[in-house]
Amino acid sequence: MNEAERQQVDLYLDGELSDAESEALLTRLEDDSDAVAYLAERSLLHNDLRRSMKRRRLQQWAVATTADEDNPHTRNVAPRTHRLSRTPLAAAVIGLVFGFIATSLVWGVIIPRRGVHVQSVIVESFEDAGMRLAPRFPDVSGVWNGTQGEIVHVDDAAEGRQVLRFGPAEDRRFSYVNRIVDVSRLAQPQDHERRELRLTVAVRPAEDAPSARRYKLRLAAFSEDPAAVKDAWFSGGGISEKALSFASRVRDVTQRGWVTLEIRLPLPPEARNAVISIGATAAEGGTAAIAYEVDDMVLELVTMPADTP
Amino acid sequence: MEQSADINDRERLTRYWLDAEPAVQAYVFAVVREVHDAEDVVQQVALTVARRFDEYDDTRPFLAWALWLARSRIADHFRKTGRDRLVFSPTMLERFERALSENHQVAVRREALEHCLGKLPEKPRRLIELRYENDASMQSVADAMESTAASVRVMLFRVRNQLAECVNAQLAKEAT
Repeated sequence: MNEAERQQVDLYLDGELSDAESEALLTRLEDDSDAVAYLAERSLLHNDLRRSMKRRRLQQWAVATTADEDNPHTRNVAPRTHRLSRTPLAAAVIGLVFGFIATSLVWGVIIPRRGVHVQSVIVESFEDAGMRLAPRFPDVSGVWNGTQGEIVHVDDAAEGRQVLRFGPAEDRRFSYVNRIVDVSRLAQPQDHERRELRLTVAVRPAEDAPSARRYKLRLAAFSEDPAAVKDAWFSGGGISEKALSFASRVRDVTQRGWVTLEIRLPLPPEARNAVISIGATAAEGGTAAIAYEVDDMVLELVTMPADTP
Repeated sequence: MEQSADINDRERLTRYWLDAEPAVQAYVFAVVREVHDAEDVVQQVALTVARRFDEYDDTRPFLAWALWLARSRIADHFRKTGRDRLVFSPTMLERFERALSENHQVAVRREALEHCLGKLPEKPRRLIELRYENDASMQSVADAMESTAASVRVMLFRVRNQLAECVNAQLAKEAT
Protein backbone atom coordinates (compact mmCIF):
# COMPACT_ATOMS: atom_id res chain seq x y z
CA MET A 1 0.00 0.00 0.00
CA ASN A 2 1.25 3.44 -0.77
CA GLU A 3 0.80 6.61 1.28
CA ALA A 4 -2.14 7.85 -0.80
CA GLU A 5 -3.99 4.54 -0.34
CA ARG A 6 -3.35 4.60 3.39
CA GLN A 7 -4.74 8.10 3.55
CA GLN A 8 -7.75 6.97 1.55
CA VAL A 9 -8.41 4.29 4.17
CA ASP A 10 -8.70 7.07 6.75
CA LEU A 11 -11.01 9.07 4.50
CA TYR A 12 -13.11 5.94 4.02
CA LEU A 13 -13.35 5.41 7.78
CA ASP A 14 -14.08 9.11 8.25
CA GLY A 15 -17.04 8.69 5.87
CA GLU A 16 -15.52 11.10 3.38
CA LEU A 17 -15.54 8.83 0.33
CA SER A 18 -18.54 8.32 -1.96
CA ASP A 19 -19.96 4.82 -2.50
CA ALA A 20 -18.15 4.58 -5.83
CA GLU A 21 -14.84 5.65 -4.30
CA SER A 22 -15.31 3.30 -1.36
CA GLU A 23 -16.05 0.41 -3.66
CA ALA A 24 -13.00 1.21 -5.80
CA LEU A 25 -10.80 1.36 -2.69
CA LEU A 26 -12.12 -1.87 -1.17
CA THR A 27 -11.80 -3.70 -4.49
CA ARG A 28 -8.15 -2.63 -4.62
CA LEU A 29 -7.56 -3.78 -1.03
CA GLU A 30 -9.46 -7.05 -1.22
CA ASP A 31 -6.73 -9.27 -2.61
CA ASP A 32 -4.00 -7.82 -0.44
CA SER A 33 -4.13 -9.41 3.02
CA ASP A 34 -1.69 -6.82 4.43
CA ALA A 35 -4.00 -4.06 3.20
CA VAL A 36 -7.03 -5.71 4.83
CA ALA A 37 -5.03 -6.04 8.05
CA TYR A 38 -4.19 -2.32 7.79
CA LEU A 39 -7.87 -1.47 7.32
CA ALA A 40 -8.76 -3.58 10.37
CA GLU A 41 -6.02 -2.02 12.47
CA ARG A 42 -7.02 1.46 11.38
CA SER A 43 -10.73 0.86 12.05
CA LEU A 44 -9.79 -0.29 15.56
CA LEU A 45 -7.76 2.89 16.05
CA HIS A 46 -10.64 5.09 14.84
CA ASN A 47 -13.02 3.28 17.12
CA ASP A 48 -10.67 3.37 20.11
CA LEU A 49 -10.23 7.12 19.62
CA ARG A 50 -13.99 7.63 19.37
CA ARG A 51 -14.52 5.64 22.58
CA SER A 52 -11.67 7.34 24.39
CA MET A 53 -12.85 10.85 23.54
CA LYS A 54 -16.41 10.04 24.54
CA ARG A 55 -15.21 8.51 27.79
CA ARG A 56 -13.29 11.70 28.50
CA ARG A 57 -16.32 13.80 27.72
CA LEU A 58 -18.36 11.66 30.05
CA GLN A 59 -15.79 12.13 32.79
CA GLN A 60 -15.63 15.89 32.20
CA TRP A 61 -19.41 16.04 32.31
CA ALA A 62 -19.38 14.15 35.59
CA VAL A 63 -16.71 16.42 37.07
CA ALA A 64 -18.55 19.53 35.90
CA THR A 65 -21.85 18.29 37.29
CA THR A 66 -20.21 17.40 40.60
CA ALA A 67 -18.66 20.87 40.72
CA ASP A 68 -22.05 22.39 39.94
CA GLU A 69 -23.46 20.43 42.83
CA ASP A 70 -21.30 22.45 45.21
CA ASN A 71 -22.37 25.67 43.57
CA PRO A 72 -25.29 27.24 45.51
CA HIS A 73 -26.74 28.51 42.24
CA THR A 74 -27.30 24.98 40.98
CA ARG A 75 -28.71 23.42 44.11
CA ASN A 76 -32.13 23.07 42.56
CA VAL A 77 -30.94 20.28 40.24
CA ALA A 78 -33.01 17.13 40.71
CA PRO A 79 -31.60 14.87 43.46
CA ARG A 80 -31.47 11.85 41.13
CA THR A 81 -29.07 13.68 38.85
CA HIS A 82 -26.87 14.52 41.84
CA ARG A 83 -26.69 10.94 42.94
CA LEU A 84 -25.70 9.69 39.48
CA SER A 85 -22.97 12.24 39.01
CA ARG A 86 -21.36 11.95 42.45
CA THR A 87 -18.04 10.69 41.09
CA PRO A 88 -16.50 10.58 37.64
CA LEU A 89 -15.76 6.88 38.11
CA ALA A 90 -19.36 6.08 38.87
CA ALA A 91 -20.43 8.03 35.84
CA ALA A 92 -17.91 6.20 33.70
CA VAL A 93 -19.18 2.84 34.95
CA ILE A 94 -22.74 3.90 34.23
CA GLY A 95 -21.59 4.89 30.78
CA LEU A 96 -20.04 1.46 30.23
CA VAL A 97 -23.11 -0.40 31.43
CA PHE A 98 -25.33 1.83 29.35
CA GLY A 99 -22.96 1.25 26.47
CA PHE A 100 -23.47 -2.47 26.83
CA ILE A 101 -27.19 -2.10 26.40
CA ALA A 102 -27.48 0.81 24.06
CA THR A 103 -23.92 1.07 22.78
CA SER A 104 -23.07 4.64 22.03
CA LEU A 105 -26.44 5.59 20.63
CA VAL A 106 -26.85 8.32 23.22
CA TRP A 107 -23.71 10.09 22.04
CA GLY A 108 -24.61 10.20 18.39
CA VAL A 109 -24.13 13.52 16.74
CA ILE A 110 -25.16 14.22 13.18
CA ILE A 111 -22.40 14.41 10.61
CA PRO A 112 -23.45 17.02 8.08
CA ARG A 113 -24.20 15.36 4.76
CA ARG A 114 -23.26 17.83 2.12
CA GLY A 115 -22.70 15.29 -0.64
CA VAL A 116 -19.09 16.43 -0.99
CA HIS A 117 -16.49 13.66 -1.22
CA VAL A 118 -12.77 14.12 -1.07
CA GLN A 119 -10.13 11.70 -2.27
CA SER A 120 -6.39 12.21 -1.84
CA VAL A 121 -4.51 11.98 -5.09
CA ILE A 122 -1.04 13.01 -3.95
CA VAL A 123 0.37 13.66 -0.48
CA GLU A 124 3.96 14.76 -0.96
CA SER A 125 6.48 16.01 1.57
CA PHE A 126 9.57 14.98 -0.40
CA GLU A 127 10.83 12.60 2.28
CA ASP A 128 12.10 10.02 -0.23
CA ALA A 129 15.83 10.77 -0.38
CA GLY A 130 16.10 8.77 -3.61
CA MET A 131 13.37 10.75 -5.38
CA ARG A 132 14.20 11.26 -9.04
CA LEU A 133 13.73 14.76 -10.44
CA ALA A 134 13.36 15.15 -14.20
CA PRO A 135 15.96 17.47 -15.73
CA ARG A 136 13.29 19.33 -17.73
CA PHE A 137 9.50 19.63 -17.79
CA PRO A 138 8.36 16.00 -17.43
CA ASP A 139 7.03 14.00 -20.36
CA VAL A 140 5.76 11.24 -18.09
CA SER A 141 3.39 11.40 -15.15
CA GLY A 142 4.48 11.02 -11.55
CA VAL A 143 7.86 12.82 -11.53
CA TRP A 144 8.79 16.32 -10.48
CA ASN A 145 11.09 18.69 -12.25
CA GLY A 146 12.28 22.06 -11.02
CA THR A 147 14.52 24.88 -12.17
CA GLN A 148 17.80 23.51 -10.76
CA GLY A 149 15.59 21.41 -8.52
CA GLU A 150 16.98 19.25 -5.72
CA ILE A 151 15.70 17.51 -2.60
CA VAL A 152 17.41 19.01 0.45
CA HIS A 153 17.38 18.41 4.18
CA VAL A 154 16.29 21.40 6.30
CA ASP A 155 15.68 21.75 10.03
CA ASP A 156 12.42 23.59 9.65
CA ALA A 157 10.56 21.86 6.83
CA ALA A 158 6.83 22.48 6.66
CA GLU A 159 6.47 18.70 7.05
CA GLY A 160 9.10 16.07 7.75
CA ARG A 161 12.77 16.87 7.20
CA GLN A 162 13.15 17.41 3.48
CA VAL A 163 11.88 19.91 0.92
CA LEU A 164 12.10 20.39 -2.83
CA ARG A 165 14.32 23.42 -3.48
CA PHE A 166 14.20 25.10 -6.90
CA GLY A 167 15.83 28.09 -8.59
CA PRO A 168 17.42 30.56 -8.87
CA ALA A 169 16.83 31.54 -12.50
CA GLU A 170 18.40 34.96 -12.95
CA ASP A 171 17.59 35.08 -16.65
CA ARG A 172 13.88 34.46 -16.20
CA ARG A 173 10.92 35.97 -14.43
CA PHE A 174 9.87 32.81 -12.62
CA SER A 175 11.49 29.63 -11.32
CA TYR A 176 9.18 26.65 -11.57
CA VAL A 177 8.53 23.17 -10.25
CA ASN A 178 6.17 21.04 -12.32
CA ARG A 179 4.57 17.62 -12.32
CA ILE A 180 2.15 15.76 -14.57
CA VAL A 181 -0.47 13.73 -12.70
CA ASP A 182 -2.37 10.81 -14.22
CA VAL A 183 -6.04 11.52 -13.45
CA SER A 184 -7.51 8.95 -15.84
CA ARG A 185 -8.25 6.44 -13.08
CA LEU A 186 -9.86 8.80 -10.61
CA ALA A 187 -13.51 8.20 -9.79
CA GLN A 188 -15.81 9.68 -12.41
CA PRO A 189 -18.67 11.96 -11.33
CA GLN A 190 -22.14 10.45 -11.28
CA ASP A 191 -25.17 12.19 -12.73
CA HIS A 192 -25.65 15.66 -11.22
CA GLU A 193 -22.12 15.70 -9.80
CA ARG A 194 -19.00 17.58 -10.79
CA ARG A 195 -15.34 17.13 -9.89
CA GLU A 196 -12.50 19.48 -9.14
CA LEU A 197 -8.86 19.15 -8.22
CA ARG A 198 -7.72 21.06 -5.14
CA LEU A 199 -4.05 21.75 -4.56
CA THR A 200 -2.56 23.07 -1.33
CA VAL A 201 1.17 23.60 -1.00
CA ALA A 202 3.60 25.26 1.40
CA VAL A 203 6.22 27.57 -0.19
CA ARG A 204 8.93 29.93 1.03
CA PRO A 205 12.11 31.61 -0.19
CA ALA A 206 15.17 29.49 0.65
CA GLU A 207 17.14 32.54 1.72
CA ASP A 208 16.05 34.93 4.38
CA ALA A 209 15.05 37.61 1.87
CA PRO A 210 13.24 40.66 3.23
CA SER A 211 11.47 41.79 0.05
CA ALA A 212 8.05 40.66 -1.16
CA ARG A 213 7.74 37.41 -3.10
CA ARG A 214 5.31 36.52 -5.80
CA TYR A 215 4.03 32.97 -6.24
CA LYS A 216 2.09 31.59 -9.17
CA LEU A 217 0.10 28.37 -8.94
CA ARG A 218 -1.25 26.79 -12.10
CA LEU A 219 -3.33 23.68 -12.67
CA ALA A 220 -4.43 22.44 -16.08
CA ALA A 221 -6.27 19.34 -17.28
CA PHE A 222 -5.66 17.69 -20.64
CA SER A 223 -7.15 14.79 -22.56
CA GLU A 224 -3.73 14.04 -24.17
CA ASP A 225 -0.97 11.73 -22.97
CA PRO A 226 1.97 13.25 -21.01
CA ALA A 227 4.30 13.73 -24.00
CA ALA A 228 1.57 15.62 -25.88
CA VAL A 229 0.80 17.62 -22.72
CA LYS A 230 4.42 18.77 -22.63
CA ASP A 231 4.21 19.81 -26.30
CA ALA A 232 0.99 21.71 -25.66
CA TRP A 233 2.47 23.41 -22.58
CA PHE A 234 5.37 24.86 -24.59
CA SER A 235 3.81 25.33 -28.02
CA GLY A 236 3.06 29.01 -27.47
CA GLY A 237 -0.26 30.75 -27.04
CA GLY A 238 -2.47 30.59 -23.97
CA ILE A 239 -2.55 27.30 -22.06
CA SER A 240 -6.20 27.95 -21.34
CA GLU A 241 -6.94 27.55 -25.08
CA LYS A 242 -5.20 24.17 -25.29
CA ALA A 243 -6.26 22.62 -22.00
CA LEU A 244 -9.66 21.15 -21.13
CA SER A 245 -9.60 23.40 -18.09
CA PHE A 246 -7.04 25.78 -16.66
CA ALA A 247 -6.65 27.75 -13.43
CA SER A 248 -3.95 30.20 -12.45
CA ARG A 249 -3.49 32.11 -9.24
CA VAL A 250 -0.87 34.70 -8.34
CA ARG A 251 -0.23 35.73 -4.76
CA ASP A 252 2.18 38.28 -3.33
CA VAL A 253 3.56 37.40 0.09
CA THR A 254 5.41 39.78 2.35
CA GLN A 255 5.74 37.58 5.42
CA ARG A 256 8.78 35.38 5.95
CA GLY A 257 8.69 31.65 6.34
CA TRP A 258 6.22 29.09 5.04
CA VAL A 259 2.92 30.14 3.53
CA THR A 260 0.25 27.75 2.29
CA LEU A 261 -1.31 28.44 -1.09
CA GLU A 262 -4.40 26.84 -2.57
CA ILE A 263 -5.88 26.56 -6.05
CA ARG A 264 -8.82 24.64 -7.53
CA LEU A 265 -9.48 23.35 -11.03
CA PRO A 266 -12.69 21.94 -12.54
CA LEU A 267 -11.86 18.41 -13.74
CA PRO A 268 -13.87 17.37 -16.82
CA PRO A 269 -14.73 13.65 -17.20
CA GLU A 270 -12.52 13.29 -20.30
CA ALA A 271 -9.37 14.56 -18.51
CA ARG A 272 -6.49 12.05 -18.57
CA ASN A 273 -3.62 14.13 -17.23
CA ALA A 274 -3.26 17.25 -15.12
CA VAL A 275 -0.30 19.59 -14.75
CA ILE A 276 0.77 21.09 -11.44
CA SER A 277 3.01 24.12 -11.88
CA ILE A 278 4.34 26.23 -9.01
CA GLY A 279 6.30 29.36 -9.85
CA ALA A 280 8.11 31.89 -7.67
CA THR A 281 9.81 35.24 -8.26
CA ALA A 282 10.45 38.62 -6.67
CA ALA A 283 7.24 40.65 -6.79
CA GLU A 284 6.55 43.13 -9.58
CA GLY A 285 8.81 42.62 -12.53
CA GLY A 286 11.89 41.18 -10.83
CA THR A 287 13.69 37.98 -11.67
CA ALA A 288 13.78 34.64 -9.88
CA ALA A 289 17.22 35.40 -8.51
CA ILE A 290 17.03 33.31 -5.36
CA ALA A 291 16.01 29.75 -4.56
CA TYR A 292 12.58 28.78 -3.25
CA GLU A 293 11.32 25.74 -1.42
CA VAL A 294 8.17 23.64 -1.74
CA ASP A 295 6.86 21.19 0.85
CA ASP A 296 3.72 19.56 2.24
CA MET A 297 1.85 19.39 -1.05
CA VAL A 298 -1.59 17.80 -1.17
CA LEU A 299 -3.63 17.25 -4.30
CA GLU A 300 -7.21 16.12 -3.76
CA LEU A 301 -10.12 15.20 -5.94
CA VAL A 302 -13.33 16.78 -4.71
CA THR A 303 -16.61 15.39 -6.03
CA MET A 304 -19.72 17.42 -5.24
CA PRO A 305 -23.28 18.05 -6.41
CA ALA A 306 -23.22 19.96 -9.69
CA ASP A 307 -25.08 22.92 -8.17
CA THR A 308 -22.50 23.42 -5.38
CA PRO A 309 -21.29 27.03 -5.66
CA MET B 1 -29.50 -23.28 41.65
CA GLU B 2 -31.12 -22.23 38.38
CA GLN B 3 -31.01 -18.62 39.48
CA SER B 4 -27.30 -18.90 40.27
CA ALA B 5 -26.64 -20.38 36.80
CA ASP B 6 -28.48 -17.42 35.27
CA ILE B 7 -26.32 -14.98 37.20
CA ASN B 8 -23.16 -16.80 36.10
CA ASP B 9 -24.32 -16.69 32.49
CA ARG B 10 -25.05 -12.99 32.73
CA GLU B 11 -21.64 -12.30 34.25
CA ARG B 12 -19.96 -14.32 31.52
CA LEU B 13 -21.95 -12.54 28.83
CA THR B 14 -21.05 -9.14 30.27
CA ARG B 15 -17.37 -10.02 30.53
CA TYR B 16 -17.19 -11.44 27.00
CA TRP B 17 -19.16 -8.59 25.48
CA LEU B 18 -17.10 -5.85 27.14
CA ASP B 19 -14.04 -7.52 25.68
CA ALA B 20 -15.50 -7.98 22.20
CA GLU B 21 -17.53 -4.79 21.84
CA PRO B 22 -14.74 -2.46 20.59
CA ALA B 23 -13.86 -4.85 17.77
CA VAL B 24 -17.54 -5.38 16.91
CA GLN B 25 -17.99 -1.60 16.85
CA ALA B 26 -14.92 -1.15 14.68
CA TYR B 27 -16.31 -3.79 12.32
CA VAL B 28 -19.79 -2.29 12.09
CA PHE B 29 -18.55 1.31 11.78
CA ALA B 30 -16.20 0.26 8.98
CA VAL B 31 -18.97 -1.40 6.98
CA VAL B 32 -21.97 0.80 7.85
CA ARG B 33 -20.42 4.22 7.57
CA GLU B 34 -23.29 6.45 8.69
CA VAL B 35 -22.76 7.02 12.42
CA HIS B 36 -26.38 6.76 13.56
CA ASP B 37 -27.03 3.68 11.45
CA ALA B 38 -23.85 2.05 12.72
CA GLU B 39 -24.84 2.72 16.32
CA ASP B 40 -28.27 1.17 15.68
CA VAL B 41 -26.65 -1.90 14.16
CA VAL B 42 -24.24 -2.31 17.10
CA GLN B 43 -27.22 -2.08 19.42
CA GLN B 44 -28.98 -4.81 17.41
CA VAL B 45 -25.86 -6.97 17.61
CA ALA B 46 -25.70 -6.50 21.40
CA LEU B 47 -29.35 -7.54 21.73
CA THR B 48 -28.85 -10.56 19.46
CA VAL B 49 -25.77 -11.62 21.40
CA ALA B 50 -27.73 -11.39 24.66
CA ARG B 51 -30.78 -13.23 23.25
CA ARG B 52 -28.78 -16.05 21.67
CA PHE B 53 -26.03 -16.39 24.26
CA ASP B 54 -27.21 -19.89 25.20
CA GLU B 55 -26.25 -20.98 21.66
CA TYR B 56 -22.68 -19.82 22.08
CA ASP B 57 -20.16 -22.66 22.12
CA ASP B 58 -17.63 -21.85 24.85
CA THR B 59 -14.85 -23.73 23.05
CA ARG B 60 -14.87 -21.21 20.19
CA PRO B 61 -13.66 -17.59 20.38
CA PHE B 62 -16.48 -15.29 21.47
CA LEU B 63 -15.40 -12.46 19.21
CA ALA B 64 -15.63 -14.62 16.08
CA TRP B 65 -19.17 -15.61 17.11
CA ALA B 66 -20.15 -11.99 17.81
CA LEU B 67 -18.72 -10.88 14.46
CA TRP B 68 -20.65 -13.66 12.73
CA LEU B 69 -23.87 -12.36 14.32
CA ALA B 70 -22.86 -8.80 13.43
CA ARG B 71 -22.55 -9.79 9.80
CA SER B 72 -26.21 -10.90 9.76
CA ARG B 73 -27.36 -7.69 11.44
CA ILE B 74 -25.39 -5.64 8.91
CA ALA B 75 -27.02 -7.57 6.07
CA ASP B 76 -30.45 -6.91 7.67
CA HIS B 77 -29.62 -3.23 7.85
CA PHE B 78 -28.69 -3.03 4.16
CA ARG B 79 -31.82 -4.96 3.21
CA LYS B 80 -34.00 -2.59 5.23
CA THR B 81 -32.38 0.53 3.85
CA GLY B 82 -32.80 -0.72 0.30
CA ARG B 83 -29.12 -1.13 -0.50
CA ASP B 84 -28.84 -4.01 -2.94
CA ARG B 85 -25.41 -5.12 -1.82
CA LEU B 86 -22.67 -4.67 0.71
CA VAL B 87 -19.62 -2.65 -0.21
CA PHE B 88 -17.57 -5.37 1.48
CA SER B 89 -17.51 -8.62 -0.49
CA PRO B 90 -17.92 -11.88 1.50
CA THR B 91 -14.19 -12.60 1.07
CA MET B 92 -13.30 -9.14 2.29
CA LEU B 93 -15.60 -9.56 5.31
CA GLU B 94 -13.96 -12.85 6.24
CA ARG B 95 -10.47 -11.40 5.98
CA PHE B 96 -11.50 -8.31 7.89
CA GLU B 97 -13.06 -10.41 10.68
CA ARG B 98 -9.92 -12.51 10.89
CA ALA B 99 -7.69 -9.45 11.10
CA LEU B 100 -9.87 -7.92 13.84
CA SER B 101 -9.87 -11.17 15.83
CA GLU B 102 -6.08 -11.26 15.75
CA ASN B 103 -5.62 -7.65 16.87
CA HIS B 104 -8.31 -6.70 19.28
CA GLN B 105 -6.52 -7.07 22.73
CA VAL B 106 -8.89 -4.51 24.23
CA ALA B 107 -7.50 -3.68 27.66
CA VAL B 108 -3.83 -3.35 26.75
CA ARG B 109 -4.61 -1.41 23.62
CA ARG B 110 -6.80 1.02 25.50
CA GLU B 111 -4.12 1.63 28.11
CA ALA B 112 -1.49 2.09 25.42
CA LEU B 113 -3.70 4.57 23.57
CA GLU B 114 -4.37 6.60 26.70
CA HIS B 115 -0.63 6.72 27.36
CA CYS B 116 0.05 7.86 23.78
CA LEU B 117 -2.73 10.46 23.81
CA GLY B 118 -1.19 11.87 26.96
CA LYS B 119 2.09 12.40 25.10
CA LEU B 120 0.54 14.35 22.22
CA PRO B 121 1.27 18.07 22.00
CA GLU B 122 -1.69 20.38 22.50
CA LYS B 123 -2.60 21.06 18.88
CA PRO B 124 -2.80 17.45 17.66
CA ARG B 125 -4.64 16.46 20.83
CA ARG B 126 -7.18 19.22 20.24
CA LEU B 127 -7.59 17.98 16.69
CA ILE B 128 -8.38 14.46 17.88
CA GLU B 129 -10.80 15.77 20.50
CA LEU B 130 -12.64 17.91 17.96
CA ARG B 131 -12.89 15.07 15.47
CA TYR B 132 -14.04 12.30 17.81
CA GLU B 133 -15.87 13.85 20.73
CA ASN B 134 -18.77 14.80 18.50
CA ASP B 135 -17.97 12.78 15.38
CA ALA B 136 -17.50 16.16 13.74
CA SER B 137 -17.02 16.65 10.01
CA MET B 138 -13.66 17.73 8.62
CA GLN B 139 -15.12 21.13 7.80
CA SER B 140 -16.36 21.65 11.38
CA VAL B 141 -12.95 20.65 12.73
CA ALA B 142 -11.28 22.97 10.21
CA ASP B 143 -13.53 25.85 11.26
CA ALA B 144 -12.73 25.26 14.92
CA MET B 145 -8.99 25.04 14.18
CA GLU B 146 -9.10 28.06 11.82
CA SER B 147 -7.65 25.86 9.12
CA THR B 148 -8.80 24.23 5.88
CA ALA B 149 -10.50 20.85 5.60
CA ALA B 150 -7.63 19.69 3.37
CA SER B 151 -5.05 20.53 6.03
CA VAL B 152 -7.17 18.88 8.72
CA ARG B 153 -7.36 15.65 6.71
CA VAL B 154 -3.60 15.56 6.32
CA MET B 155 -2.94 16.53 9.94
CA LEU B 156 -5.34 13.86 11.20
CA PHE B 157 -3.70 11.24 9.01
CA ARG B 158 -0.33 12.14 10.50
CA VAL B 159 -1.52 12.27 14.10
CA ARG B 160 -3.19 8.87 13.71
CA ASN B 161 0.05 7.48 12.27
CA GLN B 162 1.92 8.88 15.24
CA LEU B 163 -0.59 7.34 17.64
CA ALA B 164 -0.56 3.98 15.84
CA GLU B 165 3.24 3.85 16.01
CA CYS B 166 3.21 4.79 19.68
CA VAL B 167 0.51 2.20 20.52
CA ASN B 168 2.40 -0.53 18.66
CA ALA B 169 5.60 0.39 20.49
CA GLN B 170 3.74 0.21 23.81
CA LEU B 171 2.21 -3.16 22.93
CA ALA B 172 5.63 -4.49 21.92
CA LYS B 173 7.02 -3.29 25.25
CA GLU B 174 4.16 -5.03 27.08
CA ALA B 175 4.87 -8.25 25.21
CA THR B 176 8.53 -8.42 26.26
